[in-house]
Amino acid sequence: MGLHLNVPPAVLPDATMREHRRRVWWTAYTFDRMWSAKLGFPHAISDTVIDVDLPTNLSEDADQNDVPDCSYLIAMIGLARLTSQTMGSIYGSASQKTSLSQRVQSALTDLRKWKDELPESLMIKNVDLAASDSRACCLQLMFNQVIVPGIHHIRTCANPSSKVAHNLYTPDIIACGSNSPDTVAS
Amino acid sequence: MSVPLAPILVAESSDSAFATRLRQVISNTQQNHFPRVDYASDEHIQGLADTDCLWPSPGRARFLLDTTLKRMGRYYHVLMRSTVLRELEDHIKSPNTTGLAVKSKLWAVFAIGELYATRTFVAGSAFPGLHYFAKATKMLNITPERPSLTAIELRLLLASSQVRQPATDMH
Repeated sequence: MGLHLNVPPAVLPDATMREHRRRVWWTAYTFDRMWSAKLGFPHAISDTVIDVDLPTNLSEDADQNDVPDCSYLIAMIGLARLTSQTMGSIYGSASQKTSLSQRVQSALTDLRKWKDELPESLMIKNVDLAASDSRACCLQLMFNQVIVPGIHHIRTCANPSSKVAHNLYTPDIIACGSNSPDTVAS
Repeated sequence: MSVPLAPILVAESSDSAFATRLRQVISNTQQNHFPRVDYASDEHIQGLADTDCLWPSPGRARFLLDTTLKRMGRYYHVLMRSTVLRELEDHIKSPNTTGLAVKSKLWAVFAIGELYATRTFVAGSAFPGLHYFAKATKMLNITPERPSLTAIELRLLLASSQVRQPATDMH
């Protein structure tokens, strides 16, 4: 199918269908990264082979029901990528150059950066779920699921007084509890 | 399942369980965990796949599709709304002209719709949408001669229906 490649408009003139193809690809990518991390298996799709653009917003005359705003999808794809990187940094082979604590702290810093760069509409506001987009809650749950193993390792394996760990885990663990009325089964 | 036949632990996926338990412990609200011990056997699913399944009434079919689009479709882009709505209407008008791939996709849509729409579950009764799911998986028995986006959409739907959605209705 070549979903991982861009289709030129000359081949597929329908812009909505081109966007659909792109989004289906990124859904498959997200499933691969999220589920492989949860199951403890290696992911199947390498980032280096992907040559297709991220989802985009089409012009206003396109049907918004078919291709809604792309900001949520882009945030989720970014988190899916960071999830596999984080799991790789914790459980990856022993031949990695840097120490475990450095790798985990670097992964947690990347995750924090991802969270800080979320668009306003996808942020949880004052842990008031009713006022937040349910998709923001979904992202928060996925974020919690990946950050807790990292924190777990910092707490048990690395220096527990680490500043990065302290700054990261306190607010996030509290958020984990208060934002999880519907617990993600593992 | 006996231990020698169970999948081995590849990585420390128990950390994921740790994450869940941690959140349960520090959460203010009481969390109930439902361990799943009631699995459908392979023979049962195969039997269902080979048994005739009544197509839902047009009203029910539209409801199940709408449920899938609103729930799963809100978090994951697998289906294009206008396309699948048209495919369902075409099937309702002339069921005999629908291809196997589209029909299987609609079965998968109904299975997911049932999963989301079923609010109560009586022990011993059939798992919601299992018959639809079994019908949809029949398509996986064949290797299509030509690749199609519909076949990929079907696989994504079936995969997602086997994994609990991370965000169910929280409002």
